Amino acid sequence: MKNSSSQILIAEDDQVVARIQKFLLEKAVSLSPVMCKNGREALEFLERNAGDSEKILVILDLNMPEMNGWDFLEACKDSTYAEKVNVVVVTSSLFWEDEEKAASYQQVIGYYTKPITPSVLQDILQLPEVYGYFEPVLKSR
Amino acid sequence: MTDFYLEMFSSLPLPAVLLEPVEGGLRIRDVNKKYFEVTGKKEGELIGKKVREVFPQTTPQEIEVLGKLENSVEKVRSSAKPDKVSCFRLDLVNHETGETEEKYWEAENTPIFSKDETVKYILHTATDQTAEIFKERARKQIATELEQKEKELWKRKKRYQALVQEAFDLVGILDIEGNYKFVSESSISILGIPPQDFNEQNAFDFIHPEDKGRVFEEFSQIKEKKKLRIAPFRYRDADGVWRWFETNVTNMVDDPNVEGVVINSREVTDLIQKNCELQQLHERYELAAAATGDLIYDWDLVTDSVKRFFTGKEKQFGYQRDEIDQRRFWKEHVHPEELEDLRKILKSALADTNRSQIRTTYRIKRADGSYAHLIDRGMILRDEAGKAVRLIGATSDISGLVNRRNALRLANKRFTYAMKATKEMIWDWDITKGYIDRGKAFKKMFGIEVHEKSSVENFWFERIVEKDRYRIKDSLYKTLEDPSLDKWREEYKIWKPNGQNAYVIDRGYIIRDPEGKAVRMVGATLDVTESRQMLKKIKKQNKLLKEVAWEQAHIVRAPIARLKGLLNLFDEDYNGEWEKEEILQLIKDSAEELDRIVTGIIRKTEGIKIEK
Repeated sequence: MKNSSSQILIAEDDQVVARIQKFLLEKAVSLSPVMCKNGREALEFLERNAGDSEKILVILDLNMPEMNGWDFLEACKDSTYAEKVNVVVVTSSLFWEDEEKAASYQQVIGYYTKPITPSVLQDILQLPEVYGYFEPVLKSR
Repeated sequence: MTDFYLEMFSSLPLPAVLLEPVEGGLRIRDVNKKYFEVTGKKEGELIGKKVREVFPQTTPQEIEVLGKLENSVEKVRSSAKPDKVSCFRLDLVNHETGETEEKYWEAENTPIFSKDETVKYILHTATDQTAEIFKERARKQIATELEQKEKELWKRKKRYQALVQEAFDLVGILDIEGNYKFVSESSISILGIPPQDFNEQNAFDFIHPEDKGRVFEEFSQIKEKKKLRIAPFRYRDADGVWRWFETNVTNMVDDPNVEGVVINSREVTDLIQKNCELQQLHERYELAAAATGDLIYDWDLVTDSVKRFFTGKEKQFGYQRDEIDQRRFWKEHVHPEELEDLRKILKSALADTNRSQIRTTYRIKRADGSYAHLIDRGMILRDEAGKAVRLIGATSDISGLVNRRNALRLANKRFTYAMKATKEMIWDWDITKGYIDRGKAFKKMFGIEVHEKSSVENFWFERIVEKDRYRIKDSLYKTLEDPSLDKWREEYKIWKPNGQNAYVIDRGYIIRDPEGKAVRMVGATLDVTESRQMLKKIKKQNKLLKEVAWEQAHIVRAPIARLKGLLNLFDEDYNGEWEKEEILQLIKDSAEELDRIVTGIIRKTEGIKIEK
């Protein structure tokens, strides 16, 4: 029951980008991602639902209102569910420092600049930490 | 009886004449044989004739003699007593040779009485005194000559004594083995030894052991030579002091008056000492020249001859010694631009009777064509009239010094500019004595003027702000105590008298003694307050700019990322989820957003003021 115990969460304040990401994800895996407008919403979701999940993949934007990606990572790293959560940073930032900083968090398993493409998404789903947790959409469908 | 007398008369060994006083003179009554012999006259020429007839009195001598004779006869006649005519001269002709001989006589007139006791005859006898006179004359002549010779001898003796006693020479006579036979009185004045003390002494016993062998060898050659000279040797005087003598030796062994070797010794101690001093002086000059590398010269201005001393190098200025010794060398090698001035300075200094020193600097051409910088210092020696007669001096090659000085000037110039530009303060800390000497820049930098040499402990540390003070002291003393370290560097804040802080970078180089103990430290303190403040501002500004850049990067990048994402949709099958018009509208909206953002950034950038 991979899909029932695994979750994908998109934390993105740009609604157009969020919609594109959701569209591409749904084309790739057979589940619907949870949409959050900022870090706080994402964190609250995890607080509520992480216990029921085996694996949670967070597609995280860095620059968001209320709670940005960095604050989310800080809050998440010492949480009880930290081991279940894997984060892929998808940001518009081209700063090398941001990538370096992101790599310092144990949960962060990837760092990509926007926009993500279907092939990038496939790369993400192939990452060892999350590989096999999300059932791909059958081509015939 | 009569015959007897006649015979006796006739045979008298003396010439005798019997005279009868008659009217008008004396008549010759008889003449003995001797008389005939002496006078050479015949009987007929004499007997019965008057005396004046026989002796014509043609010469003054004859006149005088006849007068004396007649006076004596008259005296005999009147006194009736014999009378002697003292010695007189009456020359006679030698009948054999025909020559007149010088003759001297003594005559005696003896009265012969008649029966009436009157003087009837006078017996005149003459004694030939010629031999005695001649003998006496010879004796007198000899005596005179002797006297003259004695006088001469005495004079000579006196002269000799005067010469020998007062002379500086010591005269002596030795036998061939060197034993003294005679020593002149001058031995007292010269050696303090009386002549008699040399009796039975050998000359070689007085000669210095180091010279004895040589002198003996030289002296021994006198057996084959008439004269020789012995080179100076040392001879012991009465006080045991060694004195130098030069001796002339003359072999007079064969001269019966001498029978020895005459030595004439002249003391040359002063000369030898002067020569020694001169030699030492020369050596000292050479050594001084060698030690200093200087060229020392002694210029006789009267003869224009120069003696130069240098042994420090094989060559001087690349020239051989004989080249430099040439009289015109200097004049021909001084830099042409300086020769005329040099001449003027020299001429002026020599002419000024108050000047005793001269100092010049000039260049001289080396053998390789380059020029050496020289400094020339000379002492001017003058005669009583003040005329310069000698110039003694030393010439030092200061090329290295000049080059270093020029380099130093350049370095100083650079340093001065650097000091002006960097505001750096140089300090020199005598750790042994405990005081620190600071440059003039100190006041300029810190507004504090230090008249006395101050100490690090009670002056500098007090000025370090409290939070830095312990750290700096600790760092400084730990560095000084570690013999392996020779540099120290710290940054800290100090208090200025105006109450403000100055941020300084202090660096020092440590000088240690052979045991590694720090004895001196030289360093520089740089006031970096302004640059620190500037750096702080720059950092702050950088941080701000970075934040701005970060934010803007996200803002700018957001619509671009969105645009790219939307454009990527055209590669996908978006039917059912997207309408084409919707995508195009979103693209348009994103493009406009991007345009607004870029425009805003440009306006914002134009508004940023860069703080100076």
